[in-house]
Amino acid sequence: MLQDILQNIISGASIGATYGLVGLGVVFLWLTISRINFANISSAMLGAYLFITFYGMNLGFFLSFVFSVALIALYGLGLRQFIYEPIRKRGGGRLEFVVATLMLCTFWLNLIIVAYGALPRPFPPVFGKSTDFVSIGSIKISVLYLNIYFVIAILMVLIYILLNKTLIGKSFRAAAQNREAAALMGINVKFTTSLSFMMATCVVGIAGILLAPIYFVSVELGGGAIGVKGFASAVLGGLTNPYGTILGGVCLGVLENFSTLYISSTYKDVISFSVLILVLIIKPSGIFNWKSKRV
Amino acid sequence: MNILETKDLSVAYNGVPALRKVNIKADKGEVVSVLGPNGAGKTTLLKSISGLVKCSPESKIKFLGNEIQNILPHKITRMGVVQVPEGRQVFGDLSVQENLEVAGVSVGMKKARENIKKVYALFSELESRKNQAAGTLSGGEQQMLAIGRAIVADPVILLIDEPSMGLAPVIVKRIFSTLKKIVKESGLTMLIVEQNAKLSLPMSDRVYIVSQGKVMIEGTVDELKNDRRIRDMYFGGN
Repeated sequence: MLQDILQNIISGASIGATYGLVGLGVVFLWLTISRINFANISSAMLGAYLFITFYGMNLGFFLSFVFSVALIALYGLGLRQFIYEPIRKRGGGRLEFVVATLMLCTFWLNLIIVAYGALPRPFPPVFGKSTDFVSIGSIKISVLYLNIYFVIAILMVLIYILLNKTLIGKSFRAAAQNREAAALMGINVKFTTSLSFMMATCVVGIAGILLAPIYFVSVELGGGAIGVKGFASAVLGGLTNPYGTILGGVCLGVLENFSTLYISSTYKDVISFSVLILVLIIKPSGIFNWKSKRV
Repeated sequence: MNILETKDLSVAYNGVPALRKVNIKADKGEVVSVLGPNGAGKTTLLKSISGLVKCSPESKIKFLGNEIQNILPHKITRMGVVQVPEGRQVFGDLSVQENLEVAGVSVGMKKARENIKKVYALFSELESRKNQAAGTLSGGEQQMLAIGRAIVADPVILLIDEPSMGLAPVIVKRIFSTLKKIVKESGLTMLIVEQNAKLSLPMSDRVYIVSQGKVMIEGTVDELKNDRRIRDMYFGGN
């Protein structure tokens, strides 16, 4: 019994942390341009497909990972250059951006179907097989989940260092809080905006690669439930707190696993979306948003 | 030497004029005050110099002889025209130290570190709150930080917008005395917008009085002190 609970917490938290990563994509953009990118989740799908393409060319795990993440970052830059900037220059607001990115999301889904077919593809067992387990006492933990934790932990440490220890990261935070004042201090806000687009697509791309062993490499990674769960994590973090977003994702993942365990797997999405709606009604500033003061 | 000069500077917000052909200048080492009622265009004047608002095509803003009216704000700052914005606008989630570091982005690590030391020497209360989030500082401390931040960016000319806004008289006094000290020691040029003439005039060399987007009166402080209209309006009569 206790064993079941612990195992569910561990697996739920690891999938949840990847939802959190998807949410980070939302947060990074919201912080700098106050827009929601509805094609946010497309980066996850693109990441996974790019990865298997490079992996299929026998580049090995490391190179495939680096190349796909680099391409996704470039895609982020393009997103800014060809979607955000043209809309902004023509005086478009949030609605225009929403419509454009919604269409972009559909575009990528269909492009992937044309290029790779609609059938899910297996993901190479680079993070270990789901049948490999590590035993700690009586608890068995899948190697896959451990590796997901490992990658996310490294990523979070890197993000923390970037945002808090480097001048670029500090400038990014300054520009996120007050663009005008940041420009007055000599910070190139165009650069920090580009950085936020790249960071946003990168983390979601990595989330896609991490989710692929669980969801297969399929168009499911590029729309629907996972994207909304990522968004829900971001809402739990108040759209502004990166660490709260990961925590929100973890809670969502655990909750989802327990609803599968005690109620029914058919209801797990209903339950997690109910949480989203409840948070939006009760505390729209986010429950894991401990730094929400904006000056 | 002429540090900053505007020629026929006009700005309009959605067709409504905010500045009409404003000509001002500041020479090296001068402290220039801009006075005027609310909505006169004082803040717009500073914002257009800093590049935050676009001016009309015939306007010219010259800094050290170079035209800067079409340059991006962060580049203008990097050239040495640094503004302390109205209402302080410190980065609330960043620590005091981080606020200062970020302002050093344009001057390089070494110079930034030196300048931060200078700022801590000017405002010792900032140093004791170094690691505190700037949003938790008092209004006066935030104003000190806003000025300190601008100093780190190594200004040739410092533009200050309403430094006394919403602050207690004791703190305002302290801030103005520090500004005086900065001018005296570093010899930088200052353009200061302030509603409270009693504060800004004693430290100023020249004054522009703007109203409805136009420069109405200009002159040295001594000249204007003897002008009856000005005396009545800005020095409380007698």
